[in-house]
Amino acid sequence: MVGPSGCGKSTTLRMIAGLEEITQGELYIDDKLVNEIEARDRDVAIVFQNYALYPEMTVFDNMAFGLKMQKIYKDEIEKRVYEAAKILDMNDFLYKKPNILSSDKQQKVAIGRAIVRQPKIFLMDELLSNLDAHLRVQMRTEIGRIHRMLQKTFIYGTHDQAEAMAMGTRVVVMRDGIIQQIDTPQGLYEKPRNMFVAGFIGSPQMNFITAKVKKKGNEIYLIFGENAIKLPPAKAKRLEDGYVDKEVVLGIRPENLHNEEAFLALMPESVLEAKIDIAEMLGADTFLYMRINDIKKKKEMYKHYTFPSFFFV
Amino acid sequence: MTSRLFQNIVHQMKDVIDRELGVIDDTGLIVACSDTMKNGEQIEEIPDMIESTQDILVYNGFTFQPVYDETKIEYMVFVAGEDEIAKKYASILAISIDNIKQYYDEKYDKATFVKNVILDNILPGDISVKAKELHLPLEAHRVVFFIRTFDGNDVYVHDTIQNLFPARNKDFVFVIDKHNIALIKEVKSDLEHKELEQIAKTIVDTLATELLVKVYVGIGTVVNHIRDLAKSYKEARVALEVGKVFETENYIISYDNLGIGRLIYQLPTTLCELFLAEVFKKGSIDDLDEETLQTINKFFENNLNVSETSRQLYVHRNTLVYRLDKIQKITGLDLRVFDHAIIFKVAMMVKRYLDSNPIKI
Repeated sequence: MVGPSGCGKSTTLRMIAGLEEITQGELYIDDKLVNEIEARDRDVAIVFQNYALYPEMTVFDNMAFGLKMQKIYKDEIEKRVYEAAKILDMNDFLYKKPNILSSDKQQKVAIGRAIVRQPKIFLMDELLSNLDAHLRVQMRTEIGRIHRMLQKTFIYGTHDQAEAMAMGTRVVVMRDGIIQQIDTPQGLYEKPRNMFVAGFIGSPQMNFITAKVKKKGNEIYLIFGENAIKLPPAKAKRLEDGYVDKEVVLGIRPENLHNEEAFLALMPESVLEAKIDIAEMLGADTFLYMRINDIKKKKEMYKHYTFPSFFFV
Repeated sequence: MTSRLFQNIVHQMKDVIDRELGVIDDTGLIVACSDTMKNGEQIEEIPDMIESTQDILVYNGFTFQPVYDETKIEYMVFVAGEDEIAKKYASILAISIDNIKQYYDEKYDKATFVKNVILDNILPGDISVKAKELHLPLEAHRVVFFIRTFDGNDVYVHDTIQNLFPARNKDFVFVIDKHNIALIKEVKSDLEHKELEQIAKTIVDTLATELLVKVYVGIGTVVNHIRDLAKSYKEARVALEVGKVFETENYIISYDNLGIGRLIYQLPTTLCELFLAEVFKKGSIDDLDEETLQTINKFFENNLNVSETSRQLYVHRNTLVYRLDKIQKITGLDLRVFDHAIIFKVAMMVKRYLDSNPIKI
């Protein structure tokens, strides 16, 4: 689940866990209605970004604490903790105190506490937000690996679209408590269902330009300021009925802007002149911030060719 | 509790010296023994032996050594054997038992003392004297967190919080009643308020993770003298009570952030009723339907901005203006005017407060 802060991700996760009352609607886990079922009987485990480990306990005891409280047999506790440590690659740290562990290892212990419960569903709320940027990237790969090993449902809430795109197999985009779209990462990127999803998913962000649809002969043009671009037939067809002479918002992903000779020759009526404001060199990519009649646009240099993709609201 | 601690020491020593050993109380009851089958057995002769001895004695193949509580013998330790080595072992065991006992007594006393302080069960004049006796610093930055479990106190909530804050002489955790637990925590002098909320969030999240229980946390203000702990405790409780009325969506409520809610909470209910009757001369707040109340709340959330409110409510600007006019007709208050808006806001809070039937602390 991805969306800006305050969009309802945490509340939804807490509702699934049974920590928050569901005021309306029904919640099913494995075809079983669980609205009235107590949190501890739902067979879920939840992990938060505020992982607090017990400072005077070893990693082993930190993972075992919840199980001890459930009065699970010692042998079984040992078995589950060793299994979890193996999955997390934490065997060497089992008898260390948390204060000597790095923040990503501490986070693994927190995940370990959930794994030993052997729940049906793992709920994770902004799990990596407290980590440094490079550890976050490392840990999201780790979580992906753990997910594949455990073969259980993970529901992961984040405000970071890159995290959602990298880790998710099915992503729910939320805003103001309302689901905007549910899709695969690729589906969200290539076919966003509204302007919010289009703008939220993808970094650098999609450019939005308000334009007017005009028909000249059999061709459809988009006019903005002193500029006009001709739409390719497939895109034009979608606007022919009902949108002519109306305002639309044109959405262009930065990587779909091209300056290659071959491309310009192919679509001479879709060429714009722009002035580069700023160039940001990021290593593999360079971001160019450009102006077309005072409209700011962003362009990302890419080596591959794609036809412009347009998005209309 | 002490017998568990004694048993632990006895087991550890048994691993080292490989002789039977244990601890007996002054009635002759074995409270800890390396042969756990003997725990609870009575040695009839011990009370008489205690009467007649002040030092090491040998009896029936065992060496006994007394452990004193000031001048009175409180326990006897015993080690199998009557030789010199047995005497040495008995002395070592007696020293260990004495130390652990003192440590436990002190800790137990400290916890009881702090509990009495926060619950106002101790005379103010006695606080400093007793704190000095227990080696508790009088001046330290401390704050009280009041933790309420949503549906009754899970027996493990206390243990979990205790393990989160194990600093023995700095942090204290008490069960207040079935639903409530207090945490008294020593904090750094330069601690920022958001760090206090972070501690509270850690409590909420850890209990949700470990026990899947929902808790609310009230935070008192930081005090720097032990006698002011009772104040911080009351504030933490008030924060929860007031928060329950005005901040129903928050799990963590700080006394410092209560704002107008705190003011209303301190007003007598008769005065509140009078205020409501005066404000809504033309009609009652109850005459407003759910949609209108939602409109009002959104309007306040957006700082009386008509355009932004209509956008968020997905209604035309004119529809919102019409609704605001309707509210003015019903209540006589034009919410676009700041003075009217503030009266209405306070009145809504007073109404909410009266409806919640709050407990006064």
